[in-house]
Amino acid sequence: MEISTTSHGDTTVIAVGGRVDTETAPQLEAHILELIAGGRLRIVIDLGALDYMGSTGLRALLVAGKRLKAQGGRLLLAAPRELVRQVLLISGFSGMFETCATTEEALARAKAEG
Amino acid sequence: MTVSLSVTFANDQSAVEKLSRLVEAFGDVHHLPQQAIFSVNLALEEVVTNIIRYAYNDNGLPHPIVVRLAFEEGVLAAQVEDDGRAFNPLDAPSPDIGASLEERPVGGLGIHLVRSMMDSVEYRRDDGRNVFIMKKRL
Repeated sequence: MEISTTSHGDTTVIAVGGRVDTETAPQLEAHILELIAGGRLRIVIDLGALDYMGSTGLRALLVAGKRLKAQGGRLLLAAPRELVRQVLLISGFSGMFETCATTEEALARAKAEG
Repeated sequence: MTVSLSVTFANDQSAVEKLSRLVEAFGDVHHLPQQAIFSVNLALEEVVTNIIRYAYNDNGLPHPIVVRLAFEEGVLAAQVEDDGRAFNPLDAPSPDIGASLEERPVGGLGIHLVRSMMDSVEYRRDDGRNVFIMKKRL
């Protein structure tokens, strides 16, 4: 798994590549929670380079999403590839988190409202 | 004619990624659809991870887990067999996928994915072994 994090004003984009599975998901979760603890409350997860995500990855997103929501923040997902998109759909996650086709769109949405 | 692959590994989490690569190779060699291989891999990760976590309580002694993949007459089947305590992954509760973010419990996602991405799942206890079979029609 590769993680690359960039700031765009108040919004942070975390680009995740490779595999998010039982071994790597805890690292991703810890990274996002650390950002939230540091006051980064608008987060876009760019899934464009993600080959695989299982339930531990979903769990990491869920934990991060709940933490953000509790602090008045927002979590958006961007650019999932076909197979990951299906996992998000089946799990109900695409209904729970705003999911955009591109990171640019997600950034625009993240900045848009309150 | 059935084409198949049998893999035996120890109950260690690092085996999951190796298994995943073998399953992908099997799929490549037999020109199986990417979607099906992804689904089977995801389901195998869930099942094998649960077995490693919950089926043993002897302080990390090694145990063999056997995964057998078979493709015959348009059906891809994956069987996982272990010698741990009686443990059925199907018993885990299903999540409410319509629930909002606040209501959604954190656990149960893995089994929901297995049930959704595979066409059939079956568990039996056979002479001191757990046998879990998942099938997907391609």
